[in-house]
Amino acid sequence: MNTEKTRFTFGDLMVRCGFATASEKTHTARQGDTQGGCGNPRPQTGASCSCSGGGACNGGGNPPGGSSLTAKPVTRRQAIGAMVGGALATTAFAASSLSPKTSDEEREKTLLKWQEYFKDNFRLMSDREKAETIQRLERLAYLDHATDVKIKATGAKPGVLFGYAFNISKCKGYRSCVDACIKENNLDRKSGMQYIRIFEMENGKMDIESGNAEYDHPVPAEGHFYMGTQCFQCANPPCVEVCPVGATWQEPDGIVVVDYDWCIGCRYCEAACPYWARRFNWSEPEVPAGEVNANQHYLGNRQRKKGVVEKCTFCVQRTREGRLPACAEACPTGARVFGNLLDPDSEIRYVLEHKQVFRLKEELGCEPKFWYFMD
Amino acid sequence: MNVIRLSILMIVVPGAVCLTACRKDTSGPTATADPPVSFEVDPAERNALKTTPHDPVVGFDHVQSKPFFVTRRTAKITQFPCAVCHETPLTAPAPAEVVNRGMHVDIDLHHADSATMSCATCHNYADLSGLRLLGGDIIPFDASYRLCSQCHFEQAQDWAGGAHGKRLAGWQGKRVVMNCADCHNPHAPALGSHWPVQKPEIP
Ligand code: SF4
Ligand code: SF4
Repeated sequence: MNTEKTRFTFGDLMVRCGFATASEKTHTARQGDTQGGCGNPRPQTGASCSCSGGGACNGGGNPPGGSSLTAKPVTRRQAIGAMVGGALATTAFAASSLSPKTSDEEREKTLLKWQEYFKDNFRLMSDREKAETIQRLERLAYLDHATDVKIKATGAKPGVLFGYAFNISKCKGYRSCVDACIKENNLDRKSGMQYIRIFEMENGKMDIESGNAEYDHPVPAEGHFYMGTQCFQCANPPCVEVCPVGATWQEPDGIVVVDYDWCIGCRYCEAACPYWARRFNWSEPEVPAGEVNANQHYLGNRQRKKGVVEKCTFCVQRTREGRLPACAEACPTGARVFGNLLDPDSEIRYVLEHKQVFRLKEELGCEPKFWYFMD
Repeated sequence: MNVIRLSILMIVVPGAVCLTACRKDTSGPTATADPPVSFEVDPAERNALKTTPHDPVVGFDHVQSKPFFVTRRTAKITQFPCAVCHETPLTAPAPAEVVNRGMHVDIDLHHADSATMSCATCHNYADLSGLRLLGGDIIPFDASYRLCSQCHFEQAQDWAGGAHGKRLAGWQGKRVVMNCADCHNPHAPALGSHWPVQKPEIP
């Protein structure tokens, strides 16, 4: 990973803080690049960018409104360090002018939120920055929701590529997986968000559009079979391709993740996904305090917020520790097979090598790592 | 490649947004960021394996060359050992109506038709604490998967390979799978019908 710091000019910071005017917004680049991104302000003159791909280039195109401060590039963190005190004082002052009883907790919350606002894309963070943001998020979870959570940032392990198989002759439509997923991943209870859809399909029909995901009767129903969908962690994910800010990407173990603090909620990815896998938070997600799963991952089931997109991550908080995804564990019929595609002795490899498998909308070329099979 | 694309974009389209070019190349997974860490099974899962008694599976080397394990049945059978009641061997094959009475009121035989199988097809009448294979070998209840696999060989093969049944704890490490009778009632093996949970609200 490129550990070199992103350089941000003071002008950039002003724009992000909303202090700069539209005419000054010559550059609002947010980086999402682990492989040598360009932090350049876009040259106004049309001159070619001299970025060498090293990720540390500052370029020559200073914003016209930039002061002499811009001549000396500062790292994002340094700039935050310089600014946040003053900014916080202003905020705290504003808050206290409204309510004379601004508590210490509120001040702490404001400070933490400020620091959170200026952090980097997860892929650009150093280990120290990751530890710091996790500490802040855990504290904020406590202040905001009165829950003690443990957020991890466990990385992908070498030699692991996750794959999933779904037995359509075994699934009986009980939706136990859906239930387990909601609880494991702290899904918004208010809007009834669910990552998994189980489609009830008429025997002989393979067109999933004809399936009914809202069945409400004892299952299995005569003459029907059941087909589950969720995020398929495509190897060629169109959702990643369309994200304008690099807030979603594919990890080395094949899991497509979202940085909830980098997502701007444009929902391009939701539109690009051919499998209806992404969900948008129209309102502040709500999980009753007693039901929060405290075992969380930065890129997985940590508390989301209003206006960001989320989706199934094959339970990254569990699977990177060697456990099964909650859905696979909960399934009472054994219809769900999960494992490492790179391990020739794994169950998923057995399925791929010995059963008739197919994938949904294969012709689109997204290469989902989710196969359906029959007994 | 990225750099070249970036430069072209800058020259040809001065109004283009920098973001597109700055984004990572999405053609494949990102480079590995973390140093190799050995897999640690979650302590809770490890305990689950420790507290679930299991034995090595025998007879499936042709499907799965790597050793794997199966949960023990005897701890879960409520009226075991059978010899507590059955002090003497049974002599005549008992028809299903007889079995459905007394201590076995919960047993309702919906497996194969009576011409194909009776109680004696699986149970060892000489000592009811064991099961009897078709060839006459006596096996413990813990190895009941061997009994089932005599007829259901296709399912058993998939079970050994991993396409049928359920694995305990994680997807890696020691592979412990559930015994056939952990999910299927051997007297009525088909899974039943019931109400689903969590009806979705699809926008
Ligand atoms: S299923 Fe949809 S959200 Fe998941 S990786 Fe594929 S395109 Fe992206
Ligand atoms: S909504 Fe999707 S495409 Fe838009 S910023 Fe968030 S992750 Fe990226």
